[in-house]
Amino acid sequence: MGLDSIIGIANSALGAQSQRITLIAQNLANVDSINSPDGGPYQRRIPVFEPAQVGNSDGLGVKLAEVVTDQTPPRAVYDPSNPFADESGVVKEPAVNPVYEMVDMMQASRSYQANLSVVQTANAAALKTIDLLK
Amino acid sequence: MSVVIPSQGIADLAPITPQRASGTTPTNGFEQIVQQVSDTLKNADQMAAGYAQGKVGLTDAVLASEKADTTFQVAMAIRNRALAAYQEIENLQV
Repeated sequence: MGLDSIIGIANSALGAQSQRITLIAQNLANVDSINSPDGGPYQRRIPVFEPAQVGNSDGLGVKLAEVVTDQTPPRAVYDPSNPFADESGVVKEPAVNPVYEMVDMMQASRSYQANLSVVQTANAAALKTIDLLK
Repeated sequence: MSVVIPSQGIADLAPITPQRASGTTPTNGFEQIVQQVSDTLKNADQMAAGYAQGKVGLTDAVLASEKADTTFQVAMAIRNRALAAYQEIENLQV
């Protein structure tokens, strides 16, 4: 059914953007994490999306294909008093730029709203069609 | 039909269970629509409960509810249409 397909596709996008915002939250939260479980400072996570079949809808929705780590080298900060500093007194801090993350978050938020608009449009069209019967 | 004795009042009413007329199948017309609407509403309820339990995402729950609402409105519109047609025939002058 048309309406179901539209709402299903938009729903997949809403889910994908939520996951994107989750990763942004994770990046922002770990802006100062210099000792991650896999050794070294925290590495920024980037979502990779891909088109995907949603249910038995006509078109393609979107899904989170994988989460990759940003390979940018960590920021070197001179802080000899830090127990994690190397012999030359340099601490490796995560290469997370809060400004990038905020911009990314605005994009994700706008995209989420755009997909909500799709749902609203599909619903309004359906209700207008039902009005034909009245 | 039992006789009502004023001093005893009226006995408790038994709940009325709808019975399908003999010879009809659940696949006919409006009954099928009602069944579909009922299923969609039940699904929306389950999704809302699932969201409260943290098993279902917010968007899934809200969109299921939205879909149930639309389906219900379609059923109501069809019912009103059918009833209007019936009344039209009822008012025919003979």
